[in-house]
Amino acid sequence: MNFRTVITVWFKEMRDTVRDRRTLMSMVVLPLFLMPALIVGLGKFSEYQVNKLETRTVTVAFENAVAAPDLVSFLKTQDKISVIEVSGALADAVKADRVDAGIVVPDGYEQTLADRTPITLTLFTHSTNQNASVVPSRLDAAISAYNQTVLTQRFAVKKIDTSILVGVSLKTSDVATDQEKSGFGLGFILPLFIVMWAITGGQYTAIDASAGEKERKTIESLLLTPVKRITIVLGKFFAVASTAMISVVVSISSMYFTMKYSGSNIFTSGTIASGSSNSGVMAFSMSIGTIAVLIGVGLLLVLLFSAIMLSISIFAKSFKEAQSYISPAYLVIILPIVIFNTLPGLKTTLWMFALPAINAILLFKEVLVGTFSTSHILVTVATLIVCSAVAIVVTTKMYERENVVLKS
Amino acid sequence: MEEKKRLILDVQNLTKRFNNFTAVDHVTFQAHRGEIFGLLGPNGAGKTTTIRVISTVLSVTDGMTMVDGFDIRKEQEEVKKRLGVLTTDVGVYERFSGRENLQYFAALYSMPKEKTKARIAELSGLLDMDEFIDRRSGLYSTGMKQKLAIARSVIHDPDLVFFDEPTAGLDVLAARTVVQFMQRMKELGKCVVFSTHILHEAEKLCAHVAIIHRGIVVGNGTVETLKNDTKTSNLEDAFLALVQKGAHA
Ligand SMILES: Nc1ncnc2c1ncn2[C@@H]1O[C@H](COP(=O)(O)OP(=O)(O)O)[C@@H](O)[C@H]1O
Ligand SMILES: [Mg+2]
Repeated sequence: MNFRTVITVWFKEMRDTVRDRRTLMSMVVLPLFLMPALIVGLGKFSEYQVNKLETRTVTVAFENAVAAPDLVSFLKTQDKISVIEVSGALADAVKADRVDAGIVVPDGYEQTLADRTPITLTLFTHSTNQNASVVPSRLDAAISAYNQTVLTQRFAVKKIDTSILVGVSLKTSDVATDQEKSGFGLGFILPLFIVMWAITGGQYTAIDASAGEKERKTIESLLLTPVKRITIVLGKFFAVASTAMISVVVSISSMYFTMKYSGSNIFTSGTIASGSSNSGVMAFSMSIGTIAVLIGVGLLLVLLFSAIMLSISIFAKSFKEAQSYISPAYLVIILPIVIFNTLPGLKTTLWMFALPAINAILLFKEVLVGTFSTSHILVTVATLIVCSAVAIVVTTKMYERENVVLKS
Repeated sequence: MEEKKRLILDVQNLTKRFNNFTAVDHVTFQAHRGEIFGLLGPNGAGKTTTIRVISTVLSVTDGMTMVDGFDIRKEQEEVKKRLGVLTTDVGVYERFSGRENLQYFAALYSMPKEKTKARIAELSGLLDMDEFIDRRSGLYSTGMKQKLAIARSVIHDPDLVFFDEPTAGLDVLAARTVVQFMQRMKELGKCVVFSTHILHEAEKLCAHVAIIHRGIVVGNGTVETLKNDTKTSNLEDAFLALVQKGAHA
């Protein structure tokens, strides 16, 4: 292997990449603009959804309303509840979403109440209704408030202070640090993005440098030169890795600045990070060490994926064919990663850090929350280095097979 | 002695099998410096495969072949340095200019920068490329691409050059440039192996030829002896007679 020739091949592929608008697009432009736009957009959207639900008015209809005029008029005074009348059977009206909820009042309601016997009201809801998630809590609160007025009246008759009703209550205080809180939300989305760009960032270069050479019939001239196969493969491999790494760095930085300047609350309010329920803007922070681990492990991921992409696309005769091989491969890689990424409350053990790519996801999460261990980093790094080396050797073997390289 | 010095390509019983299919079957011929040697045969005869095996792009199944004294089995790097091939499909890096294409290949042949510059100037002049050599090669016409491909195949100044169906798909003018270039190489003392299925083209250019049919050499010698032996007046008829004789044997 001749290192100078590796650089010659690398430089040629980089120049080719930079001159191609498609590769430039997937390497820089997409991670730079699309991802921040998506994140901010998604954050705003979920915020909007939550707000919309909270401010939405729930409609209620009664069956046998005449038996409980007090209750009905109380509910009419409640905020964000609107009592309406429906025709036909109440259950059917709820099922048809003509009303969000239906309450059935039993006969002799007033008398039972006066007797101080407990009363059960039947509440019809429709779980596929768009307001279904807010109906029970909204009505629960209203009924509780109504109960409070009933009890207050009863206590007044007996001349008892209503404060005896209050026993023990809960006041929540979250002990998670700001880093943990922002890390929790980030830990969900940033690792996925790093993996995604590690794969897709170099994809065009990988295809262009292998299947592209076949499609444009330049590969035979390349094979005619006295350059060793490993030299050609390494040059191309470094070019693929360079473009992928550029997009990883671009995407990490653009996300970093997006969050720094748009406020990281997009991860802590709303539904994305329901674990940390307190919302509002919090100081977004990422230490230099965290960034170093993200980029370092990101680089190892890039090396692994670049070799895989290159070895897959050399099998294809054309750009199109290569894409049709890479798409399923992409799914096979990304699926277990997405699953591990979303497993709730996953307890990590050392062996998980020996699973290539998945280990990076788990490590990213730990590092972002600030609870990582050295052994996890070591096992992850060692695994990724070994896998990348194996992948490069395999790729070289592919390039040495004449029926692969000269297939026509 | 003189004959030995001129010998540059010595092919003995060269055989190439793809799985169970024998594409090249015990092919034997010799080519010398200062000549245009014709490697002839219809489509699918095994010409391209023969060239690929000699240039070590494909592995050899059996037989012994020496390029300027280097064994294609053992000294592939030396063999590659000494030969150039103009492949049938001439692809170029379309986002690069002609000059950048040539510079890349010169670097792959480990040529120093100064030498590369001089060689590109020389070839550009010889092939009349000065006008377009710095333009993006993706915009070249077929003829321009062919010139660039020719320059690329001899960028490292090899003594043995294969031209595999070099005139296929070219107009008369472009084809003439190719023929003139082959003659020029011959004058410079190089050995040119001209592979083609167009026998009358070869008849005009080659003294020695080998005719391959289905991977087997059916005729080998000067054009004159082949015509005399088959009692024919042109190479095409000679070829038909040789194929028929092969079928009877
Ligand atoms: N890589 C390959 N695998 C299998 N068969 C091949 C391969 N390359 C060429 N052949 C077969 O070998 C025969 C000779 O092909 P080729 O050398 O291209 O002929 P020519 O150049 O004389 O037209 C053909 O039948 C062709 O199909
Ligand atoms: Mg051919």
